Amino acid sequence: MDALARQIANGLAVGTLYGLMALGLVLIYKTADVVNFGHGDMAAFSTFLGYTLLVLWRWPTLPALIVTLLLAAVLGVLVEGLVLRPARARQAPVLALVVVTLGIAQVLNGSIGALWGRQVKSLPPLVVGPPLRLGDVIVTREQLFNLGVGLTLALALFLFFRLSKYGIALRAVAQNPVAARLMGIGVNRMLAMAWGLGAGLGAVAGLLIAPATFLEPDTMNFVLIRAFAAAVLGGFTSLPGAMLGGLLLGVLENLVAGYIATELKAAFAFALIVLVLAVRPAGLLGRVTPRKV
Amino acid sequence: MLTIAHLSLAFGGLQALHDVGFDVAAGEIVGLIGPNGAGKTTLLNCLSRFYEPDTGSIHFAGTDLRRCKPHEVVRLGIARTFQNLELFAGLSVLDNVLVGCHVTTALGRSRTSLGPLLAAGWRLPSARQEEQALRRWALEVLDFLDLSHVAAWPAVALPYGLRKRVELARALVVRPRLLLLDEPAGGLNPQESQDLAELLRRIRTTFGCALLLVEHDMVLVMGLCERVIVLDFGRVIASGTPDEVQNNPAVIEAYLGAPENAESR
Amino acid sequence: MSARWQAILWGGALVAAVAAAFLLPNYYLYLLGLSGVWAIAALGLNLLTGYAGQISIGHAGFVAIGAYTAALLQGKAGVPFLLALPAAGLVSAGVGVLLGLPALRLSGPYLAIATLGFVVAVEQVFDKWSTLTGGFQGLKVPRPSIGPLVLADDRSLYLLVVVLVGIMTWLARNLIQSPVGRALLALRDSEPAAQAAGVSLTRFKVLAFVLSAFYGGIAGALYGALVGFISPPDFGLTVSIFLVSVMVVGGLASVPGMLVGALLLTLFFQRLSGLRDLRSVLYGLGLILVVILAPGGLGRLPSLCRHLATQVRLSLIRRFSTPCPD
Repeated sequence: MDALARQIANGLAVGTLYGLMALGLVLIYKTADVVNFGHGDMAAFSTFLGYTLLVLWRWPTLPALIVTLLLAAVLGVLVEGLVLRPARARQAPVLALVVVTLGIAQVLNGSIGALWGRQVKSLPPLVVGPPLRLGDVIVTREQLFNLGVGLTLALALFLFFRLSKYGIALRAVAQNPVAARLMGIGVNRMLAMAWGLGAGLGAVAGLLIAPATFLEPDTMNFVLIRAFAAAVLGGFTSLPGAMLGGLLLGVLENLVAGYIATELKAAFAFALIVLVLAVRPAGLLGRVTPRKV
Repeated sequence: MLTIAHLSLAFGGLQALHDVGFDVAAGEIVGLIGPNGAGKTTLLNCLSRFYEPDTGSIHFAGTDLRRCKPHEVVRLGIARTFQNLELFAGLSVLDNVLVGCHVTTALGRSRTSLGPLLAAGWRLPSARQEEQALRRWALEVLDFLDLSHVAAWPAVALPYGLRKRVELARALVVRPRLLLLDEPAGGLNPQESQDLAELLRRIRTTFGCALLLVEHDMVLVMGLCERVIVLDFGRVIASGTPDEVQNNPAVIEAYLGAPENAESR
Repeated sequence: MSARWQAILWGGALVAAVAAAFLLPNYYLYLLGLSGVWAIAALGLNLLTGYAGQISIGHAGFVAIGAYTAALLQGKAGVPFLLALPAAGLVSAGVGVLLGLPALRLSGPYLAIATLGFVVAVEQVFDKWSTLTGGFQGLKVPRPSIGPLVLADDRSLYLLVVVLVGIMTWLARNLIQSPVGRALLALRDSEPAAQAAGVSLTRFKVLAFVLSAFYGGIAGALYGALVGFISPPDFGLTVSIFLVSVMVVGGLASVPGMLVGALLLTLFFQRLSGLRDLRSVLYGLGLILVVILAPGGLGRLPSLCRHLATQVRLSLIRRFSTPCPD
């Protein structure tokens, strides 16, 4: 019973991080209609920026985090403006958009290698202290912190999308960019905002994951596959669904590794993607709109 | 030949079709008219099996159409065109028409596709002969529709009117017994629409097929069709000869509205 | 281009490819052979993505399955190369059915994600199943032999690749110009119209997966024969992305484009293998620029240039001709 509870707690803690990555993916997909295969490397690039500020330049934690997140947002805005906007202007088909984001991934991955080298680095955890007992389960403060950050951001984003006028404008852009432009919404500005926010979410995920694993250029790509699985599980168009998908994937993955076989852990995300897509393409909370003839 | 009975379909709360029933005899030209949103295209999409009706039956020449998949419909002899043109953009006019021949090819008839696949890959004589015969027939159909001069053009490069005729060619090339046309005169000027009526008559005599057309162009419908069916809010409100329908008070009300009970809708 | 000119060009390319075997140093023959392997895989991917319109970034998974099937059949069961090669294609095609069936319900980005998961999973399976595959340590592949003839030197291996590239290209061209190719293109361009013409979506989407997987399997078997050694990372996500790049650079739905694209990108990667990070940056930038500036790929570059020239000429005419009164 103890073991089970521990597996679930570990699963939830790591699942939040998958969920955070998935949130960024879903946010960008919802507004820009692009699946960002460069999300992992964008997050990694931001995390390396954070590493520079925190470890190499020894900045105090809070300013370093704020500056990192701002830089991450700038990166997202740049990627949107320099790469996706021209592609959109040419009405690039889905495949072209996929290839463009793969290209972004290559450029950023190479840049990380060139700027910081490929040796493995370590980033200190953001919170330290003795682990806590919750009933029979022992959890680290880091795990609780991750869970708190993840759930807070997911909730905040959900409310922002539902209630604020920017959120409503973003939804309008997602549903019909032409009509949104005619209604006086600055579509380019809205897309830049979505990419900025999405990249910021990736950076948060990176800064929380790196202390638990290690930091190297490919760190976030391992997470990206899980984030895809989480997003697909949640429906790919639903923000709460993405977080829920992340948590569920984290728990399931830990249970599979704990009770069936550790080797299956990596293939599990794929099996889940295929299973969910085959059985319920709209995921748990997503919606499909059929094409009209 | 085609018998539709008690067909109903709702999208959420919207009753798109309500207890629709009529039939089309072999070689007949039938018009399906009604205001926008009356359910005409929805009905065609039920016949093409893109939509699954909630209740009702569709029979074609003794076959229960509701047991068919969308790609099996044409095998029975029902071909169609689309309201918003669904040409294969990357293919030439001739290749578009050749896709229309799919069910007559060895590939289209084969159960597993394996034999025709190998024959095509290795360019066996059987595949080459079939391809030549197909091309000859497709060019004949293009010629019939005055399209042979653009056979090698990319289909999307043609002006709108010609593109509509390519769709017609793609549907005719299987020698259908029933041809479904979704707004064939949409976007045409009165002169072109008159030519179209002439062409459709010629198609009927040459190919011997029945035509069921959804159309807004009343001049075309009244001049061409032998029977007209009027849909309004998903129901058949009238059917009969063009004269009967034109003088039917329910039809006039549906098109012009009846001022005294406008709010009751 | 007329059929006669096309035949002359293809014939010329074949003669040049054979002549190269006796003119170029061994290292270049190896590089050309490798290009040929990736060209075969790209031809298959192109059938799926360029023709049938189904996005896949998991194609390296099929190459892996073919490579391991051929290596194990030859190494552990003593099957001769000429049987192991088609067997690799068939096993891979079988897996293509398994992936194609769930893929039926997916389109666009969702399919890309599912196939991404596929290649990662395949790599993991070959990595962890070490009793059979040697895991991360890799597997030595026997030199291919045809009857009593053992192909051990670079030149004969290269000629083997040339023969197979020739056959596979010819098959692909025949298929594309047959009802099969038209059915695939039809379902790419309009699913409703394809169905109305009697093309079964289920059958032809799965068929596209099967064909492309078969090509992938053949490429894998050939890769093992050429390199003599395989390990799971040889067929990872990076290779999948490489194949997509070959297709995009060469030009979607173009057969000669796959050969040119594979040659260019293989040379690029092998020649710059010393500068890993810079190469990644250049590679990524190149992909982005091709997609934005030459969306038809380099294969369409001549027609793009003609188009640009016409535009320039028109604007010059407009500028220097006397304006007509409105």
